[in-house]
Amino acid sequence: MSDTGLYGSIYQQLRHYADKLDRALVRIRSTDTKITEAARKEIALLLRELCQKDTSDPSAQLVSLLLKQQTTSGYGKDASICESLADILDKRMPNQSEISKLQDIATAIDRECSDAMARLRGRT
Amino acid sequence: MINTYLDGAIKLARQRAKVLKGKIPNPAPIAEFAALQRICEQRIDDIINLLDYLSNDPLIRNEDAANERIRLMRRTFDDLSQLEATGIAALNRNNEDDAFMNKLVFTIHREINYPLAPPTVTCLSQQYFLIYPAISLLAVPLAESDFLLHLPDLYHELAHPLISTRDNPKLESFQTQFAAFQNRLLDHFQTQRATNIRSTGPKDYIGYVIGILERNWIEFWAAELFCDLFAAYSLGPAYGWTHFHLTATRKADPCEIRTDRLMSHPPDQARMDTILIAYNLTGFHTEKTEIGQRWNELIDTLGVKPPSLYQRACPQYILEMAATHALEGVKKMGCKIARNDTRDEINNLLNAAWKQFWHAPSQYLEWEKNQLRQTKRNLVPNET
Repeated sequence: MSDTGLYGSIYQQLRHYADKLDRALVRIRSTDTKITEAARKEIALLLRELCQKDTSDPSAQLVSLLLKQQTTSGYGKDASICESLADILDKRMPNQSEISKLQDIATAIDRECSDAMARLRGRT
Repeated sequence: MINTYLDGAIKLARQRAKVLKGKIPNPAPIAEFAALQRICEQRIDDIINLLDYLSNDPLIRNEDAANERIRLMRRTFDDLSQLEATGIAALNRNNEDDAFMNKLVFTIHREINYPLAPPTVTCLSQQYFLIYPAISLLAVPLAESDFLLHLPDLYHELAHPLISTRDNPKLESFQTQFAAFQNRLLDHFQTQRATNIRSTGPKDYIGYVIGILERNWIEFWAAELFCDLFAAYSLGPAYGWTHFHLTATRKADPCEIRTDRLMSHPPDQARMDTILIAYNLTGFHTEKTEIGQRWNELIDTLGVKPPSLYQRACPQYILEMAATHALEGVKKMGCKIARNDTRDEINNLLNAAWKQFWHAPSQYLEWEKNQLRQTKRNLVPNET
């Protein structure tokens, strides 16, 4: 009943989203439209998972709350950012400012990942 | 410029991964380690593949993708060092204690109809009981195989992967119940926020407290309570006694609520209250009363009282909701719920151990020794 199972489990859940988003962000910059289109759809889907209310996926629930709490701008802010980015990505390729918002989300998930890993190693 | 550094660092990590692969003993030292051996080899292969992607993929080598490349690289390095310190370290030692604990967990897995493969067990933990869900490795302290009263915590550890394992249809019903509980928690905190806005009290402070409590619940407490509940439902009263014992011997204040930092576990009082609700739902009424009475004595002896924030942090209706959602999840997942008439070897042994402990404490050690000798003979016939 130490914290390891808990942090290991949180790390695993965060890691899934962190890797998926980073790899898709790399592919969305490709010059091959087939690759960028697939990446655009993948990111849109991932963001939808994160902003879905009453989700039955505990990992999505966890990542969504952590994202929400990482903003200082208030309750629900990140859910709406994810939602509006997903809306955009459903329709078209993101522009530079939207890519930078997506990178903020990737950085936030990565930060939570490394916190979970640090706790897993007993460093907090 | 940064790419030159990244190329070098990734190359070093790849070499380290290869060296570690060479340190995985082959054949596995005991049959029970074969699964862990396979998992470690597979994980190293995955890590090497990812390192090759980070090294060679033209898109990720693009300067524009440097952020993503560093993030992916760091997480891969973390995985490698974690694997080295846990799975591969465990594979490099073995003794009869490990063999016994593996047989024991395998038997539990069969008795309760655990929906995943049983984790490999190592007696290498430097803390208490713990599990690494990513490599399915459960660690217990060195001497644990010679005692019975802590072993109910194995059931708690077995529950963690039920929450974190993805895309497994056998776990869907449990995870759906867990997510439903999380959703109810979010509703609860949303209502709390709305009430706070209308209140005349210190809005900022209460708003901050609500934020901390919400994060505690969603990130940590909901999972911990579900693991407690899984253990209470699948094992029965012995888990409640073990929680009593752990609180009496290791914890400070069972009612403590911190607001200056996150808390990884709910207060022990809330955990015990939830476990007792579970026993009510599964017909262990006598045991529930008995454990409850002993618990109240313990709380009186410790002289602690719930702080004013306690009710806000752990309202009874949330604990009840956790208990009903978890019961539904465990049932629908097809796991066996312990009842008074359950007749399974390890279930009966662990519950009998606590009965014996309370009934005749002075004779307990001798009883435990005999029971363990017999159980080891049953589970690992060649070793005894």
